[in-house]
Amino acid sequence: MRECDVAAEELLAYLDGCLDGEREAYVAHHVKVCPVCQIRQAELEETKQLLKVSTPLPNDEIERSQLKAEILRNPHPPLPRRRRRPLLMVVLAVLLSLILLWPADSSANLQLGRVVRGVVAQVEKSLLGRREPPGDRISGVLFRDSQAFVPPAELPLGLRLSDRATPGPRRVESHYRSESGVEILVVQGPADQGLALGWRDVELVYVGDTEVLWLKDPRRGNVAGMAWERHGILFELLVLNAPQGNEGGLPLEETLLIVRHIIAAHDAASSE
Amino acid sequence: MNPPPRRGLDHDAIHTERRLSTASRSRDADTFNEFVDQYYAPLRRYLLRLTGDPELAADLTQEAFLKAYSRIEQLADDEAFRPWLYRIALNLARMEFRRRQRRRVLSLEWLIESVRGIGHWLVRPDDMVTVPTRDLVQQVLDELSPTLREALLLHRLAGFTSEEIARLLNISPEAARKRVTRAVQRFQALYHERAGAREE
Repeated sequence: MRECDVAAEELLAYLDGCLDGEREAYVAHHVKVCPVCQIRQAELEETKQLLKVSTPLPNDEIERSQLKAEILRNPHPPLPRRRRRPLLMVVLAVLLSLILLWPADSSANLQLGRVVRGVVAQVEKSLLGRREPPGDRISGVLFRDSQAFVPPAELPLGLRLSDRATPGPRRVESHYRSESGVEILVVQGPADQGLALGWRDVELVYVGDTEVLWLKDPRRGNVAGMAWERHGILFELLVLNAPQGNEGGLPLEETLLIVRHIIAAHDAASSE
Repeated sequence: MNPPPRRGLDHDAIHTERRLSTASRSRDADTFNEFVDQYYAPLRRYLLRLTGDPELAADLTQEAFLKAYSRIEQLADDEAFRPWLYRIALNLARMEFRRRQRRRVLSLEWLIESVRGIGHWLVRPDDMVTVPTRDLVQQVLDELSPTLREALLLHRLAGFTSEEIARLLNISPEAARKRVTRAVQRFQALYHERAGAREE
């Protein structure tokens, strides 16, 4: 339906008064006769009206007076500190030159290398050593033995494990994809690390006796993610791609099938 | 159809703005306060829609003006005050979002208890405060990506042109127009879908 030789962006440039004379005249004439551009223009206007009418200018007299009083009280606030990047750059350049120009076989160079390695080792020890909780390292992930769980290689909807990563000592990511283009990521971590919530719309659903948070996709009835806890592990299922249906999205029922499958496999592994 | 009126500031406003900018650079508090009178309410309204949080919007507005005042010397001679002020406010809002995002790690147990209490909550991006009757416009704005939301509000609410937005966001005018266009399309689609669902 929306086909005309003036792009929406050009219409916007015209309405903003950003086109040159000749093109402006052309678009002005075009808009009069093009229903597509007229709809676009109406949508722009409607959006503006919706925003303005629903957001009246606030009654801010008190706030404004307080702010003005603050400015008058402190007419010369300290200037923000200037960044000393140029100086830092010079220092770094000098250090780099010293390292590059230092004779390769000199004993000083060996000494420098030892010092650098020592500093790096100290930093690693102080930063990483404190962070690691007690437990055994399993596939690069620090879980207790009872918590170790390898998600199944295959899931409903034709999803197959395509990649597995351990980006941190307390996080396993399993990436699945299907031939129809569905992609999900199953993330596991210890339950005590909590959930970084990036969703605005959440509902509680049940898979057997497990409470599962349904992180809703803006499309009604669709899933952006699921989160649940089982045997001390926090699972997050994130829908990365779901080109299904007219608008795309992974429906709730289908996602619950996947969750049910993972929970069953996890239960089976835990009872062994 | 007559050519569209040029958007952005008109000539009188530009003249006033230049006069005020020049005077403000010498740290004249009275002159700067004329800016406060002129732009406080529009900026607060913009930040209210950007953040969806009235208190945060008020705080950020105050902070943006104080920061602008303390750095007024950094305003270039040919730079207008209004976009500069909005850039400061936008950066403050982004920093606040990032700060809150880092904090937003919650225990699943707590979340489930919270959700169970009400049945169906709308979770705000900041601190799990929920507002079941949030107005539809804000609900739709919250569903836009931050990039689209910023562009949409700058153009359709604050009244900047796409070229002003480009300078403000440090992107090309084409990219600014793309963002605004996509944002309007997405806003329209979501708004009418949600409004239809409410009527049902």
